[in-house]
Amino acid sequence: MKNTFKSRAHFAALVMTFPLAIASQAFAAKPAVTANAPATQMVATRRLTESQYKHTIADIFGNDIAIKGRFEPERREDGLLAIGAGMLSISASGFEQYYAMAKGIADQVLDDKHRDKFVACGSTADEACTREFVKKYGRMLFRRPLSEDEVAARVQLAAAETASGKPIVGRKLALTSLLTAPQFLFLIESAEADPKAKGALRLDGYSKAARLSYMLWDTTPDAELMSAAESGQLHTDEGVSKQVDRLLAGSNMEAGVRAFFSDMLQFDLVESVTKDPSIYPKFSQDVAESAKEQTLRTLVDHLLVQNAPYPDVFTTRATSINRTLGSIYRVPFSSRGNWMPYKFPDNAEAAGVITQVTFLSVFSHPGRSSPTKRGAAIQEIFLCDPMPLPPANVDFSIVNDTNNPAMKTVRARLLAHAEDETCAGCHNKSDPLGLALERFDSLGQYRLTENGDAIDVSAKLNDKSFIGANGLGAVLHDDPRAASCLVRNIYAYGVGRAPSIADKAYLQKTSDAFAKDGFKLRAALQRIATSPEFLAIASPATKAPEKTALNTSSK
Amino acid sequence: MTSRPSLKILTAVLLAAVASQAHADWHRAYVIEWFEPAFYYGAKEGDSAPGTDCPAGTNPDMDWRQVLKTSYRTDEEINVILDPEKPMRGQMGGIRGPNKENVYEKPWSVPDPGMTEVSGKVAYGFDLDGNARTGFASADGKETLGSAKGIDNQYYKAAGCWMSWRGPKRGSHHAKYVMDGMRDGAFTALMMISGKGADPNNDNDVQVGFYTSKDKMVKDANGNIAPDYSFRIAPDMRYQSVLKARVVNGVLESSAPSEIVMHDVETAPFFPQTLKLFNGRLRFKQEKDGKLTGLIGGYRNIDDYYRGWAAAGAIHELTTHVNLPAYWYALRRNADAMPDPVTKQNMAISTAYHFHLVPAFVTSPKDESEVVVAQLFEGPPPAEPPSRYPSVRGGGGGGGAATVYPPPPEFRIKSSRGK
Repeated sequence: MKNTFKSRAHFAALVMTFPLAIASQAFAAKPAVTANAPATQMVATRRLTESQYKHTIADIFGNDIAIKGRFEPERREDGLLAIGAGMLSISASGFEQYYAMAKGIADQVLDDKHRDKFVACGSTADEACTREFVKKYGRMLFRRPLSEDEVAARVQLAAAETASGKPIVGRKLALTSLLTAPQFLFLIESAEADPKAKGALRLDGYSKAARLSYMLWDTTPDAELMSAAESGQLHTDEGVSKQVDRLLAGSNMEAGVRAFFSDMLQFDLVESVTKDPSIYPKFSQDVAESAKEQTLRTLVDHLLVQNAPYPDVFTTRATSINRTLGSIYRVPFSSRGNWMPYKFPDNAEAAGVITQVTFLSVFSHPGRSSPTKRGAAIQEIFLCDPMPLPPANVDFSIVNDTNNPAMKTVRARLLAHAEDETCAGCHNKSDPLGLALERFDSLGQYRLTENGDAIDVSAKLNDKSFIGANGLGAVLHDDPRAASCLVRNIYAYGVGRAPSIADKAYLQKTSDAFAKDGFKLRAALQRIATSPEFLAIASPATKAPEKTALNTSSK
Repeated sequence: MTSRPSLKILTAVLLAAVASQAHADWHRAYVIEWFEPAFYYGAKEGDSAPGTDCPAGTNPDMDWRQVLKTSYRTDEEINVILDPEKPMRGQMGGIRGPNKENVYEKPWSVPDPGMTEVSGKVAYGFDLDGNARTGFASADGKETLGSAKGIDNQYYKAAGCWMSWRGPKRGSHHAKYVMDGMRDGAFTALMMISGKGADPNNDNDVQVGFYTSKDKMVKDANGNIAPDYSFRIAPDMRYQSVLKARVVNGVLESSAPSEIVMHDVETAPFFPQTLKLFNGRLRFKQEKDGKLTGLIGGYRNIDDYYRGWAAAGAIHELTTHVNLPAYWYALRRNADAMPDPVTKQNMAISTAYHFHLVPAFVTSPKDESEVVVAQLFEGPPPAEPPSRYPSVRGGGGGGGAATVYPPPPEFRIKSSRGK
């Protein structure tokens, strides 16, 4: 009971300091270099995503530190969670969760098993030692050095417990305070006076370091990047190039690429996918998680390991499968390991990521496939062409009647539905893409018939005819919008905001260069990360993005 | 002087021979999701009601007080053994021979208690002896998987009224018990078919293989075994066999009687884990959903049918409602093949099993490849003996080589007081 009260008191103290900490952020960072310039100021905030949080804790404290808690829901804007993160705060209940996670992490970091690794003085009551502990790990967590006030506040928190003979409890409290501080939970970008342009501001070195690190590695800057930030190297083209090249060559690149594509391909939806067990009994959470891993492995292998052109992700037959997915694709899994490379035969309908279980199952209904959802997803995710929401008074009765003997296939029902002029405009844009994938049911299993009728997978979009998944893959492969969309998404993901009209020329130029580079992801990342536009201060969005069809349409 | 073939020619011939062994034009693989003794159920519902198979209902429960009454045991001692507060039947239930024999190990030490046998006229199975005038009529009607008449399934006659095995297909208590164990991972049994003809629906050159795998079956959202999973063959010869077969109009059938060796239905380690059928044959048909249903029949050693039950005799008598010496006598009475040269006692009994299989993939224990030809995969001998219990043997009433377990100390003390 006593511990409960103590914990509640600690929690209350941290809650009280949370808004104050945000407000004081503008004055907390390191003073600006130029004496006459205004002090550093906060120019943007982004709440850490779940993935960023987990990678950060693992990189600072080790993979064996368990994170127990539930993260606040994230928000997708303009196609990316990374953009939505810039609009998020933390609710009271969300803070409770962050507090619980922080306390759990602090308890593990300072337990008997780990303490000596992180605290030089072990369990002795040594205020200087506590101060060093706060300074060292505070710098990693805040992604910048702590101000004297920030250090002193934590040392003071620890002192009360130390005085009562519990120095470890005190340090746990100090670490919990760091882990619940907005400076950790939010990526706070600070600007300082730009010595090269009088009156102008630039991102400070630490903000640049964080932007680079979280885009490329999905984690907090490592020691070398922090040193580069501290020394001012990140204000020079050479310094930035050196660090970007190093990060691109680092082993954490895979985590970075995984995080980016998890966001772009909307893998957060995988957790909420459900299928009607009477129709798709093979579906399980294991299938969903395996499918997500398959697509990520495909992308990492294709784009990072093979350094193959991005458009090939719509046509490649090479992928990886595990035993579970072997059952869904109905192919043998013969490896002694958990995963094995697999190449679909030449005569198979296999069009890269769009014929993988993740995409096909996420963008379907629980009981049937959805050419509209799939088509809209292709338009939005791969072509950056969002679809509007359907009108509120749409009559879905024809589409939803799967027992109509006169319309046994989804195609037949959709064509009937699209005869309504109010529906046709959007359906003509999304449905052809989805209808080409109709030989894959809601789970992503291959089929040739639906309710006994042969499935017609011919499609026509913008006067271009194609057949089936392979035809669609070829169309996407050759569509220049797909490559431009990737460039747009990388940039938006990295800077944490939707590109504005001011970015148009830059994105066009970068897309052209992407094509000249042979559509290689590494080259695109290098080009974007080293561009002055990427490390510039983010200008705020001018309007709220419009709601789109994805995840809201019932067709 | 004969000319010696060149090394090149020899190599070419060898390679061709190996290639032909490893060649198949088509193949199918399955995981066995259910199999059980093929017992025709003649009642409408329940496991004990009278039916055309067992007009008097199932084999009655034992009267424990009666079977325990021996010359060396008082009523008071029987009361102690049967005391529900301190049940001792597990230890003492088998000690009821005239000279304190354990009747599970020496069932011949007591007279045949009698077992209710099937008296119906129909059964599932095959005409194993080639005599259509003997045996049962087909229980399947036109859709029969086995023989149309002359069906030899004496094991059904012996054990078909045993309450634990009685019930509709997939419905008997014991079938559900052992198959739940299998489906939950106790063992995985596979069947593979490969053919060399152009048409998988009509092929005279087919091989059927039986295997086990360490890979467990996966259940789908409805609790059924999910199809299309991959299984690596465990190279364990205790559960492997390959036999010749043919496919006629989509129906797979053995082309000649063969020995079939595969995993038995039982999951407990004290049962023989191998199901070995002599003069075996099979017949399977493919369902519309790609699954396979079928029947396998042959003769099985009666000892294999008995000793697993005897190894935990009292427990089995209590839970499955059978008198094991009665079962032993029933097996011997109904055995219809492999007469002992000396005693003339038939040592094997005709039997059949129903099978349900779902499509799967089978991979090689040697490398990371799919198996496309049904063949044997020899591996190291099993690490542990198949059973820690000795085999029960013995002729008519003459005793045999069985190990007699010493009675527990409590029994000896009480027994001596009772004398």
